[in-house]
Amino acid sequence: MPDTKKQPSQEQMDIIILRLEVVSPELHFTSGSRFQGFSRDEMIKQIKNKTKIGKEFVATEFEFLRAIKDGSLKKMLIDTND
Amino acid sequence: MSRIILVTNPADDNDAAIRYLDAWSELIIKTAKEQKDTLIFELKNEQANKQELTKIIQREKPQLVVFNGHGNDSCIMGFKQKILIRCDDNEHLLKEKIIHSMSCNSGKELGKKCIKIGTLSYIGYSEEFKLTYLNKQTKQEMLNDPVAKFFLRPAFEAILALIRGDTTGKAYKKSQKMYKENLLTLIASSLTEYNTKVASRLYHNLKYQVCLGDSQANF
Repeated sequence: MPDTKKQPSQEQMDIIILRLEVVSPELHFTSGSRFQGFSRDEMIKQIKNKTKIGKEFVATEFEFLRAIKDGSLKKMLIDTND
Repeated sequence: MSRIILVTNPADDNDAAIRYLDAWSELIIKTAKEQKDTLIFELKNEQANKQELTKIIQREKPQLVVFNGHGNDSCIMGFKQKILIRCDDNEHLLKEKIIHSMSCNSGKELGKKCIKIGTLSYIGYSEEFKLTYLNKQTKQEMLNDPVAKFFLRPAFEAILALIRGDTTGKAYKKSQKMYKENLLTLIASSLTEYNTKVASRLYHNLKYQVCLGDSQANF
């Protein structure tokens, strides 16, 4: 599972904010048992304010980036076609 | 009618994720109506409470129960986040049934407990279900939301396959296959305003979708 307890580094947060800044401002994000969804700009604020929601968002992004790097994403996608 | 489905849809005006699930449940109802031998019961909005759920399960004895609501490791919630099913309380209601739950994390503890006490099979998520969407307002717009589709079409595929009679294992595989196809589409997309930033969250759902119990069980 994504490590949300570990405080993301400033560099990690900066990377994710940069990635978010290029997505459509119309995108909204929700996860878990929360009523509220967050727009792109609201999510950037959550990350900057280092809230639990912001940290979870960063953790999910890095889990994906790590899966690309270590080949687990590729392996998972190849398994799809069996 | 020999096959009975129960669906909970605790939609709330302030809860975008659950409103999307409610809109997408039209696919469940449509698919159920296409089957000649299937009857569907839906607990909508405030009806999605523990009392109504218990009543319908005991009276109608559905073989397939679909939960579209929030949750956590040990429980599934209904309207206004009131608990419907809780570990070590009333999970026995799900005995000898096939369960599909969109409730976040419920595949981690509750799903395993259900299988232990006799639930046939359980498809759900062992971590949070992530949704990215364009904040549409009407049901039709939600069904056509091009971003939400990447997330909800594979998730609902498991339910639709179960209704069509596929085994739990096959329904899970179909859903996983669709998740992967959508992930590939996003990764390969040149639309920088969506692609990999959306893909990361879809990857999460793919990775944490679980299929517990008897993979040969079918509805």
